[in-house]
Amino acid sequence: MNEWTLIEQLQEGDESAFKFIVDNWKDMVYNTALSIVQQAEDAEDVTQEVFVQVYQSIRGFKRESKFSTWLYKITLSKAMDHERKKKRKKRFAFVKSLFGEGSEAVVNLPDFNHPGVTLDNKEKAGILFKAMQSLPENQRVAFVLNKVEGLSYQEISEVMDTTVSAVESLLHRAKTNLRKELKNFYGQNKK
Amino acid sequence: MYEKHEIDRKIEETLESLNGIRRAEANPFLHTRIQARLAQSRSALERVVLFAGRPAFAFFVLVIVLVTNLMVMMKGSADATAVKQEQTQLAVADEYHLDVASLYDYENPEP
Repeated sequence: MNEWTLIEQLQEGDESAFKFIVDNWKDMVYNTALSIVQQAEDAEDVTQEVFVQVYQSIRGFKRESKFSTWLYKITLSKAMDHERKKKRKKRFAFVKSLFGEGSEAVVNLPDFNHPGVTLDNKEKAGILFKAMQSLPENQRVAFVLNKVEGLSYQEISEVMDTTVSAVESLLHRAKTNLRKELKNFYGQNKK
Repeated sequence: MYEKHEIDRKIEETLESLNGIRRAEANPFLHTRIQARLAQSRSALERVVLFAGRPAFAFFVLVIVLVTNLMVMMKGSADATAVKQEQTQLAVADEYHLDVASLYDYENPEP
């Protein structure tokens, strides 16, 4: 089915068009969200929120970009909002613990295991995903879009509303920062 | 030196560990769950609209608007009366030269 026809149908409230969109794009949205939030339950929540927003605001989609670009933008926005909320909760819990309030322990979750990683790379990928949590937002987004979703620099620039050279710069800085983080990790965990 | 080489090798291998990654698959029942969420948000909106449409609520809003208008009008009318009174007083004082005497007038009386 042609993308624009589908969107027109959805804008007219066609439920079957919406189901088609969900079924065809859900893995893309889920995979992107999962790579940012690194927890399956949270990624599922984010995915549902993304499609709810698509349904509610499809009439505002101006066709100035591809549908997939628009979808990536919504996904990344929701996923990063989720991450910021999580960080705020952690900070708040930490401050509360300083005052002796709240006996809830801060749970350190085990390393994230992306289900799509090849078996022989599972352990190293877990270490990499953990290191990615320390990246600044823009670098993290660019890295996920390139390495996990396999987008080209051009496609990433359209999603992030920036230039190709800015994307190159972001990826270069992301790798530099990840190398630093990994150097600390391997330096402390000599085996 | 060997250790540094070893660490560098591990770092590069780690950076390449996402090569060949496949997309994670979403829940096959995702569409059903999204429909449930949409239905929930619709019913919440419906509850707000229904409440706002109740005659008692509409009457309450009308009363608030009327009372606010009355208060503004009364304040406006009180201000207008005060201004008029002040203007009348000034006109009478001017007519009968009832200005407040200044030190200059005491020291320099008119011949």
